[in-house]
Amino acid sequence: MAYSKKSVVWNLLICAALFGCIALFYSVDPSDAVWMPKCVMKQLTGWDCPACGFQRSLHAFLHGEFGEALRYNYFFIVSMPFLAALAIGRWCLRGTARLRWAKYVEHRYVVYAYIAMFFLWWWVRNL
Amino acid sequence: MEEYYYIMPDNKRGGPVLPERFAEKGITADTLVWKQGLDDWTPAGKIEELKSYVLPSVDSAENKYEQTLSSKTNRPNTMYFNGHVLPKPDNNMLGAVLSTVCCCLPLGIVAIIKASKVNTLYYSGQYEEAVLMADSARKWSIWALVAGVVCSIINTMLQLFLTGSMAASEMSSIYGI
Repeated sequence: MAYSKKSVVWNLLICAALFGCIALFYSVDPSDAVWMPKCVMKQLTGWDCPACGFQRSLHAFLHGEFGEALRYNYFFIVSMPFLAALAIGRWCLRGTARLRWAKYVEHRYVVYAYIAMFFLWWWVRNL
Repeated sequence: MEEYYYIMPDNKRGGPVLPERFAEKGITADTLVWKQGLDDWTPAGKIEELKSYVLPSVDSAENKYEQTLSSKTNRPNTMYFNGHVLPKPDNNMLGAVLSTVCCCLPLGIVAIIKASKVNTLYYSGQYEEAVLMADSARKWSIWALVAGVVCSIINTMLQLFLTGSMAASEMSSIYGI
């Protein structure tokens, strides 16, 4: 299959952005940098949102401190395996295998459970 | 000659394009095409005026396998249109979930629900609705990410402007992420 010029350009841009982000989060500690993005939710409501801790966690992860990375946001225990399963379906499988995989991974009970845990985590972390 | 819209086997849609450019787009006799005035999406090979423009149809091994599989299990694994495989639209669930993980606005939840609906619609035979829902799911996850990042950055700049000399560590303990 031929790739269109537009999609090649987009993919290159996305890759560049990705590597840029990795380099940025490796070299800058978000807890020390005033100019790193701050959460709007937290600012408005005072609550930690479900994603809060993501930047500090990524920084720790890139420095090999996995335990530290997890402590910033325990929801990664749920979201990372789910993301990995989705990524396998998207990039490693083709045809029938992909459809079968998606039937389990994207089953509506799995999706609803993820959404339920998302809101549960939001509530729990603000207790 | 009029321009046509088309759906490729991997569900990439395109057009409008003139029939003279069908070959460079990879449009085969099996590719579904449509133009204003046509009742429905039609394989290009079935339209008289297009016959000289389309590439010969390819019977990919993958499609044949899916046909045998769905007849074996007797379940609607794959949708067909005049024997042409209509693949499940890419619901972009990965992007939707990603936007809930690294983004401070929970808009990604809408994207996840829409992405999940794509599958339901597809397997219940509503192909066009599934395609539209997939588009909508993709837009929601992109906007969730963009809105989250842009809002955070604006928020940060406002904070820098308002608080001025507040200590960095003090700030991050107050403002999250």
